[in-house]
Amino acid sequence: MKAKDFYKFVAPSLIAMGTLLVFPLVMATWLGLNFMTYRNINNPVFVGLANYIEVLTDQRFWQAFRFTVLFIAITVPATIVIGFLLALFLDQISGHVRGVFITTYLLPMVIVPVVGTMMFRLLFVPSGIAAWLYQEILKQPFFFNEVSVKILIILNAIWTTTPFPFIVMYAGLQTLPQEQIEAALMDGANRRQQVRYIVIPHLSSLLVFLGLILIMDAYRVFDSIFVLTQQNPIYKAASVMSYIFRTAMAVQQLGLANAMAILTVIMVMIVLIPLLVHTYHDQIEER
Amino acid sequence: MKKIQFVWFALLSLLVVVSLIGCQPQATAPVEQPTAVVVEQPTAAVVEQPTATVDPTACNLDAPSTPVEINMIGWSFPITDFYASELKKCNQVENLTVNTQQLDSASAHEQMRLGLAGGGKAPWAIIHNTAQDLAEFGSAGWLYPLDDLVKKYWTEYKLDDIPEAAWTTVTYEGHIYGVPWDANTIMMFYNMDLFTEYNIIPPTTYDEVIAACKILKNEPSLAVPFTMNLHAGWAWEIEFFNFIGSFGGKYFNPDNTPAFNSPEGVAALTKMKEVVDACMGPQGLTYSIDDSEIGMETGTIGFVNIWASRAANMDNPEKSNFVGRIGFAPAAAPNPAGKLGGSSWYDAYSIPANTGVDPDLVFRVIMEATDFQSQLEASQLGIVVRTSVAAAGGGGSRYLGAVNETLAKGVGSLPSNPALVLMQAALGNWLPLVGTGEKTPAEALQAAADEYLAQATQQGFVK
Repeated sequence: MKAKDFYKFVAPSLIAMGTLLVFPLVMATWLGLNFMTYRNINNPVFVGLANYIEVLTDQRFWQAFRFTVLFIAITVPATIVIGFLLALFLDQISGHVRGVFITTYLLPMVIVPVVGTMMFRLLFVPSGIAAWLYQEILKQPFFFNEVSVKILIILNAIWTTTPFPFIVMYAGLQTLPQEQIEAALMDGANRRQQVRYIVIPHLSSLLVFLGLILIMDAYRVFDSIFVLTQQNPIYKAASVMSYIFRTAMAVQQLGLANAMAILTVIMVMIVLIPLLVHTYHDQIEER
Repeated sequence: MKKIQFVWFALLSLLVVVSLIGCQPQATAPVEQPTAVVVEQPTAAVVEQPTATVDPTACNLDAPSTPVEINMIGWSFPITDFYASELKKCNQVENLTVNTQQLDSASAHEQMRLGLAGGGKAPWAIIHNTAQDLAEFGSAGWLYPLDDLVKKYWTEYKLDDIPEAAWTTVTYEGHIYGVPWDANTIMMFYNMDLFTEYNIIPPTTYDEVIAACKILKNEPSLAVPFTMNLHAGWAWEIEFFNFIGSFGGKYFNPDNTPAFNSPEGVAALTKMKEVVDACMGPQGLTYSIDDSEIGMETGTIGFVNIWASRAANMDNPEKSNFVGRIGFAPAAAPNPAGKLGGSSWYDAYSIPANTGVDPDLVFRVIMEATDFQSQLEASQLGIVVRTSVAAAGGGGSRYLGAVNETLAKGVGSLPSNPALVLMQAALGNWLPLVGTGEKTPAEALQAAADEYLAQATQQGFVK
């Protein structure tokens, strides 16, 4: 293909990405170099790297960052493992029942995240059914505190996010050559050995892909934090995104919020670039 | 896929979609932002019946000569939704289209700030706001001063029916920036059966509240004896304002430096902590306004201190198991020698300074939605500002007495200061830590003062 033809093909994507990704990123970087509030939004004051230095020396930002890292460290592996187990389970089912299970497992993905989180929270308010069950079983009232709110945030995230790795890995399992399984069976491999030595290697590239996507998604967690914590500081469960939101909306420091957003993009890239490079090399080797 | 499989799949998908649509929860009530409230006593105004030629339920405006579209933005709870629907009455006027957008409070404020700060034509011709918003928006030059329009239509729309004190709260630096239509305050609701059984008189001070909590603590039907709304940082800030006012403290010094970290502020926050420890505990700290209302309606809370706008629901048989058996009392006084711990709030409609629509037309649309007839109907949902409504037998007879006493003897409204939003953010960040014991009242107030001062200085509110 000639270079001219190649660029004609990719031009629409490049224009869309430039408009929707690159331009806002450049704007955000520029805004982060300015002192800007709602009152001087049309006349921001250039302050250089002052906003970035303020973010890097802000204890609350690092507290939010630590919680975000903890959130990623728990939810990403959990959703991948649970999604994988569900995909394995569903792969054993045939007939009409399979469709019922697929629909059920995908439901959390269909519900709007904020609505789903509000419904989830309502289960645990004093008049909620989960709070009642908790009291009936454990003989003490359920109430929101630092530990319980963080657990609820993580559980809610696992519930809403698991359908995605589930459906990706289920699709991946459909491409697994049955001959390999049959050969392993003939060699006396049990189910666990089949999964460990055949299924997981077959899905390895999908697992890396899922890890990348889920880490990026988990880093942007906001809805569940906002709804479940009501921005109450006693829960110490602010994420980076919710802290940026608070900085922009409550404290009205728009330049500072932009600086935070750019720093988080940089941090995500620091984590993801080695993975991307590793994946790229793997792909080249496979070819 | 076989045909039968396809049919099953299609039926199941349809069932799922219908279930999802049917099971969508109602949007939770947004944060009820207090509006500037002026304490006033309703006058015994003579109700003038509308003339036979004017339909009071219609939008009595002449059609504009060219098509006009008026957009409104606000936040949703029952009485505000009602007024939004009243604005839409004017869709029956030829060439006039009124669109309303009711969001949750946080989103509405976010959209308003972004829309008004950006310059250019405002996306809306009517914005719903509070007295505190008026100070912030008015000082930034985002609002259209209504002085001339109020004067022009004073007689036609009987604007003297709105008390002077109400107009004062929507006035900033000598200019009127809003039309008030709804009042609110925080007051006491109590379970009459329980109080009778335990021989408790509705408390008038928070020392009496604590004493009542000690009596009710072992009542088996109660989850907690008493709650006030402390489930979020902004909720703590509102109650702190109620308490500090009773102790004679204030938020701002004349130079905008913080005044809340004073002995009066420490005394107020200490009293709040005593109430939390005696009455609420960790469980009570998680009760939102909705949870407190449900607790009263189901009998799992003995008495509460919440928004008066929730009073009508207590006598709604679809919501309450205690219709006619919930009593209402003025807010208790945190300081026995001080004012009642209830603040005053108004909701109002304002016109953005850079609206592209004729402000005169917009003002008249607002007037048509907030006239006597509209407020008479709205009185079933909340507290209205037109004093003639009460004389005409408007709703709320069981609780209006407590409301008016709280408004008259309470701590009044939040200061009209454009830096208030920064102070509220700082207080909301530190006050909740007193409830859990992580900070002492003095530590929390000093930390909030330091945080506010840093931001206010950076943003030019403190020189």
